[in-house]
Amino acid sequence: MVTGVYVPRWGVTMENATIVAWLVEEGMPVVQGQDLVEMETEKIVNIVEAPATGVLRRILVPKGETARVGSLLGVISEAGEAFDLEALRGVEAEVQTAGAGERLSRAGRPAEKNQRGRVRASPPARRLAEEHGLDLAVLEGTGPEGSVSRDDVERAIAAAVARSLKEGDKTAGGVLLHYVSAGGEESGLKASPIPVVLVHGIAGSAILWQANLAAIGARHKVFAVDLPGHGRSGKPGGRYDIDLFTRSLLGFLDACGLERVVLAGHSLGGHVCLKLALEKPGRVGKLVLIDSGGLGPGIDLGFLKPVLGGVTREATETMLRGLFANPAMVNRPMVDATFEALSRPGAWEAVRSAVESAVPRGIQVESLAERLPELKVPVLIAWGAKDAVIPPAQGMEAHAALPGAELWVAEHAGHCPQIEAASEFNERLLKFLN
Amino acid sequence: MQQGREKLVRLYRLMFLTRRTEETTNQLFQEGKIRTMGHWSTGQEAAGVGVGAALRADDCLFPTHRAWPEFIGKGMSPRSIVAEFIGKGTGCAKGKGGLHISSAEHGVVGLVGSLGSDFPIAVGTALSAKMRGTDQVSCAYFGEGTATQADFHPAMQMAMLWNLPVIFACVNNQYVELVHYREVISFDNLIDLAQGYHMNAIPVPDGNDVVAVFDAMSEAIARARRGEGPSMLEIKTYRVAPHFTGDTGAYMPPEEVAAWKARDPIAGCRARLLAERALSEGDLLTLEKEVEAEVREAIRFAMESPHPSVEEAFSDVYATREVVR
Amino acid sequence: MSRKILYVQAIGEAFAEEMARDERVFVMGIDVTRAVFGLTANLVDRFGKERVRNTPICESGIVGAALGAALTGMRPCAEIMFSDFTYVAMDQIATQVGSWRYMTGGQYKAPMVIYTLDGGGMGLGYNHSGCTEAVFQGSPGLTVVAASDAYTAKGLLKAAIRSDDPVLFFGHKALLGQPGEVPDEDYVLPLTKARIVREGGDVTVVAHHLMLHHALGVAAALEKEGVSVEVIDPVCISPLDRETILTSVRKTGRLVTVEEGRRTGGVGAEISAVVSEEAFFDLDAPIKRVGAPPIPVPGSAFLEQTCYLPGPEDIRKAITSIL
Repeated sequence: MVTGVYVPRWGVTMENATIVAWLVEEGMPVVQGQDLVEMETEKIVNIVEAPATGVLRRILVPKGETARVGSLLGVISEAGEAFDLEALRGVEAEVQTAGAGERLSRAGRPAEKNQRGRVRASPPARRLAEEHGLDLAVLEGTGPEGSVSRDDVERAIAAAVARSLKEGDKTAGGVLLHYVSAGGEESGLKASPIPVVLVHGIAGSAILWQANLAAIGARHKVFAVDLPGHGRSGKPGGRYDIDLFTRSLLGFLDACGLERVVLAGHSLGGHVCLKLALEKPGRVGKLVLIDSGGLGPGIDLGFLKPVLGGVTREATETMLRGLFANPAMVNRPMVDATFEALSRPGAWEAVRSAVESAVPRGIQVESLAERLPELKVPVLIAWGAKDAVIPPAQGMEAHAALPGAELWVAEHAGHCPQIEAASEFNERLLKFLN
Repeated sequence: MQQGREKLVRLYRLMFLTRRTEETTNQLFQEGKIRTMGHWSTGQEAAGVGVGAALRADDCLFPTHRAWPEFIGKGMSPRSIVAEFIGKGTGCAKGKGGLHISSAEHGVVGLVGSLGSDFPIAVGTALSAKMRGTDQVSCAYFGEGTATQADFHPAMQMAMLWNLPVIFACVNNQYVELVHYREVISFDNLIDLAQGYHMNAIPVPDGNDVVAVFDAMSEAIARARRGEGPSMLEIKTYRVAPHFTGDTGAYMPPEEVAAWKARDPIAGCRARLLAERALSEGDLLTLEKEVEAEVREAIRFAMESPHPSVEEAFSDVYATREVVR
Repeated sequence: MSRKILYVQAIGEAFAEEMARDERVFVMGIDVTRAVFGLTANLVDRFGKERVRNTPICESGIVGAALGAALTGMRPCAEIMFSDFTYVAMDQIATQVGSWRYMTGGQYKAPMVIYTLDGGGMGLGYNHSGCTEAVFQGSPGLTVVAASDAYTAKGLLKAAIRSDDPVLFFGHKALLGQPGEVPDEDYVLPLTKARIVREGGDVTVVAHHLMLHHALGVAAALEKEGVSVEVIDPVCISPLDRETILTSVRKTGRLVTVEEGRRTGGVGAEISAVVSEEAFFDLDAPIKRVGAPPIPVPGSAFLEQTCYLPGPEDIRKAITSIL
């Protein structure tokens, strides 16, 4: 089968990308999902994965050259299989309007209908489409007899979510808050009434939720906000303490008009979400605490040491390694994005200030553990068994203190199970949310 | 007698043709040039030839698996037998019978795989002849081991009940596949079975004497044509060959084999031809050379024949329509 | 013009007419002169003992002899009184009868009929109550038909006798006394064509023999509840008339198969496989099969009725479960 590799859309404003490097040579075999070509936009450097398994038959845009979003970069097919560049180029316009992650292997064909006008689709495909509010009739069918397969529906869901990916800014308390959102009305998919807001941890940003946005966005409107001093949000200066973060989060909810949300917070972000849930119970429908701060005194911020000494790319990489049980989890785009964020003016100061406020002498100053029984909403506690930053025992104790709360432990993950065990986490989270 | 001489020469030729065809085909098998299971009749050619040659072309014969003597006795040519045997499209059954050789032209109705299933079928053909008012006869030709099969009993019954022109010709070659027949049959003489059905019984104690076999069979046939009903023959002989190609025959005591080899039906017939001055040595050599040539030609024809076409696999399943795959 | 006669009489008429028409046709079997089930009643008076021939008790012998006769110019009809006993003649029926033409490369043909009766419900126990057509599905060279009423019985049997191919004809004991309209004039029915007995749009039901009549009753009742059932008599069990069944399923999207024989490996199993292969995307619901459970037919008439024989309730349940 012939598959075109196209320049994907990584952001609403993205128009073109430059080839940094082809990671596979022309004529060599590739496996679907393998890193294929590294590209750079104004905003990020990222890697495009091979959309299919086969041989990389042709590279059309070489290193150093720039191409528009949607244009054909290369061709993957079976060895010796004939392919038609015209036909592959013919769908460039469609790719352009589609989102990141969309894979169009040939000109899309709407699904076949049977004699009674019903779209030919397998029962699992039908079920999945219905769950997500997708109309089978507009989907491409690549299954037998032109039927819509489960894969076709999943592709359509992913494409719909990708199309809905947005970045924006809100102002709360005079601070610019940058966010990424996905899902909801913009995706055209059936979404639950209650949106999800993701809050990152110290030295992090919305970028670290990349592995989760698509999955959550398939069923919920989801926001990933950059806390003040972090990512692309404003750096107001002064003291970056939990109160500031909590106020900013509340302000973000107000600015977006979000009455009631699911809050999911990681590490420091968990502490912030927990605090907001306790102070404004009416605004929080469900709570997810991932390797969360604020549950006890114990913490080991050793991983931050490198960048606290000074933000360099190497320091950033070392810091990120400390967050995972398997250091190979750290890849180039992650390092680049984090390094870029930490290099922004005021970012390093913000991290330092946050550490000084929350963990002045090596232990967490504020523990909300005793207040846990005040929570009257469903809670999911997620932890990496190999977390070297905040001990899993704190999560267990919190779970014990909350009758009815759910606990999920990722056996092989470190401080960031939502990244290191992403698909398990996503599945578990969605189950909790539904 | 002229008639006697012609008969002897004819029978000799048929036996010699049978043996040479089998031996040459077996060689192909040994050389790996063909692939199927052969059941050679070495040593018992007189039985099959005697039975087959006594029947008319329009009489029905249901043979044993060790059947080439009766095919050739009944008039089939080696080329159509061998071509069919190795599954070629030019075989008598277009390659779809394989070792199950048949020829409507010669009254060889077919060779069943589950031996003994043909007993009632033979009876049915005899019933048909009687109902149609012809003087055709049918013959179920079987080894002693097959006599224990389930359908032997109703076939014998129906034959007697309806007084049918059918002959049950049992060739007792003393071995039932790989064991001596007395290990699986509780008595010595299969002809005793005829007694139970009150059927005319014709024992043929020296089944290696082709004339004796031919005459006994002719007697049974004449009775049947006259409307006097069925007969059973027991033709005693010995199978010098192993059960099938690939079988070593190690279960057959060598002295036994040697004794019977000394009574070879073809050698015996040849000697008789010479003794009775029916043919000279020169005549015999000429005859034998002709037979060799015929066999060579048959083998060449079979080997060079094409396989049946793929469409052939899906035809002749029905007479009235095509197979839906 | 037509008149009402019983199913058993329809069969008798078929034999009589064909035997009068063609002197090669004859009947053979156990007690055929006395006609235990009445199928060959009075035939001997008209055609004599040569052509209505009692045989010794041996099903394989009977079938084998019929085959021999068919191969050499006659057109025999061999009776196997209870279809359970077809298994006694298995090698003859499934291997020899169906394969002889092919094995001889077309030199011979076997124009013969083997006719038998299916059916339980008389408390006759494990060996006289069976329905055995399913096991002959796919047997090469055989045409297996099931007659579900007087009209079909006569038309099919005549066609079978006239066919130059061997036909396995299954009647049903419980239908013997069922009246039906039968034309006065000579007629034959196509051996391999299913018939749509009742048209409908919501679900397709394929049923034969007594089950066909149960299905029709259920269809009539469901119509009052707003469910439109299409009922098909397969007529030919093997080879199946796929087109008629598939066309119907493409229309309705739902299928229930019904047989008195056992479900496992039954007629419905083959129909299900064909429909799922060829019309998967036309199905709105799983295919349901109604058939007997995998137990011998109980000797107790009570158990037979309550636990073994499928009935209208089973058919109704199967239909409603997929609506």
